[in-house]
Amino acid sequence: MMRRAFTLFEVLVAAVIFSFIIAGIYAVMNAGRAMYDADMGRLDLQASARRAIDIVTTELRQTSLSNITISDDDTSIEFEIPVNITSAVAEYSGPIAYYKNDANQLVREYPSGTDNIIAQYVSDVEFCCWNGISCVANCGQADSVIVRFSFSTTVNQRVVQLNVTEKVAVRNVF
Amino acid sequence: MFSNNKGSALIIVYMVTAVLTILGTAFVSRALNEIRNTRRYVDTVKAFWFAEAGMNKAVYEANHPTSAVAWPGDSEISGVTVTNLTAARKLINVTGYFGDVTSTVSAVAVQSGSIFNYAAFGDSSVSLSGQGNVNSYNSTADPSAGTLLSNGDIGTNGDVSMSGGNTYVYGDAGTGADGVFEDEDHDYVSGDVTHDTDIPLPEVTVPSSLTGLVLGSSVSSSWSPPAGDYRIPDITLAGHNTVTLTGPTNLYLTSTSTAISVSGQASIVISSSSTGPVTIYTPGDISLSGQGITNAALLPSRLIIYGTSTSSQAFSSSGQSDFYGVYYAPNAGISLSGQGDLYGSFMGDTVTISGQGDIRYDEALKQINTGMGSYSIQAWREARDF
Repeated sequence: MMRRAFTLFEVLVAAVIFSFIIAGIYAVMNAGRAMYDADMGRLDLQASARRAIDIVTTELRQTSLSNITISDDDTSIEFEIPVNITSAVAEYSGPIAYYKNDANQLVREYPSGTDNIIAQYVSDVEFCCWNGISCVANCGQADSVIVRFSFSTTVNQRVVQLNVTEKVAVRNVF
Repeated sequence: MFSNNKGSALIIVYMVTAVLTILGTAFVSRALNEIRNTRRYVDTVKAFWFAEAGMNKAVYEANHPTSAVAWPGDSEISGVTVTNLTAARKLINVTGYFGDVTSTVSAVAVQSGSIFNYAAFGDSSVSLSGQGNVNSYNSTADPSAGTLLSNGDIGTNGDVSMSGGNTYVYGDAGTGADGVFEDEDHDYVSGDVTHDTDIPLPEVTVPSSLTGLVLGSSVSSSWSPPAGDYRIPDITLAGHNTVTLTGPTNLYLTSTSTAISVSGQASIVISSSSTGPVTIYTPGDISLSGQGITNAALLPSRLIIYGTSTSSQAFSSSGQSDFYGVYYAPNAGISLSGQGDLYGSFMGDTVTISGQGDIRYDEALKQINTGMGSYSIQAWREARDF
């Protein structure tokens, strides 16, 4: 028996239906990929934030409150840490600085003039010598240091943000 | 019709499923990796704090060498090493661990500060039954003790006994954790009465600069040596004999029986022209009566008497006039029963106060660095490179 061919109308209807199906699948997969990328971006930010706050607080707690200098805009901090505590007179490292550069990176400068990138996608940094009530300009009058980092990046036109804050109890007095 | 296309839906479903599986697997893999990293970070933080706990434990044990405290978290602390850098400086290294993560901190602990922090402190007991009060003043701001303050603390690692109903303590009173505060006649304590005192009295070591001196002769008549270091057996004065000491002087009395005996009209005078303290070390007994010791500058910090016996010794003061000075003898029974006021600080194994005068603690004594105070951390560092 002779099979009847599809009419042009049937082919067009089938094409339209198929394109709708493909478009639906694409939309779903695209949304999934966007969420995946956003989640990956958030994980990247979390890892970066964790590493940055760990490095800064680990080093910062070795200094002395009276040795800390914070810039007027609270975006950079400078201090020294002891490198030899067993000598009759303790030996110190020389200035160690942390600040955010124009490329939105958190930078550790040590020794002077040598920069190491600690974290990317840094939108804001804030250092504060905390006296239990408020931030004070003279860190010698404080009892701890508060470090606050904000991270922000755009993944597939979606903004991913993260804030981390840590209060550091400084161990030394010198 | 369409019989050859019946499997197309299944193929499409397989393709979509495969793509989603690949994406899902990558995501789960990444998430698991992050969980591992986060867990390791948490372990690192825990290990650090276990190391810090070990450091606090090491410093506590340096200050309480006879203490046997069971510490929570002991199993997570390892590698506690204490190295004596000098007699009063210790290097403490502590490693804490959690899981397979370790954290090491190092600190130099220094023994410093004053040990004269009480009007009267007895390792075993403090007993008050006299007529006078216990209060304080500050000889730096108020040399004449014109204003009496309420920091005349008494304390003991054992028991406090107050009786007679005429004793007023203007300060705190502390017993040991198992100590008894006995006050049957309702005497008065202006501050807090606590039951958690745990302050070991460090033994006193005679400086090698004194032990190496040639032993001189006993002194039993008037003597006025210039400022300096001396090593003699004892001082025994009676009649009208006077020994005049000018600070800075270090005097090592080697007798293990009676090291100082002053009676009658005899006296030991700490010269007002002293430019430093007269510091006396002795393992023997001290008996002061009559004129006793006269501290002409009226500054307790100008006369410091250390008892160096590791077994027992006795300090007794029953003179008629005021006394300015410090007794510190961890194994001595100290008996204060004179008529005059006693300015300074009196610390021994047992302190018995039954005199007529006041005990006036000089708060300026807290500023004296005896090198025998508590260990505290002078420098701290974490062994970690960046």
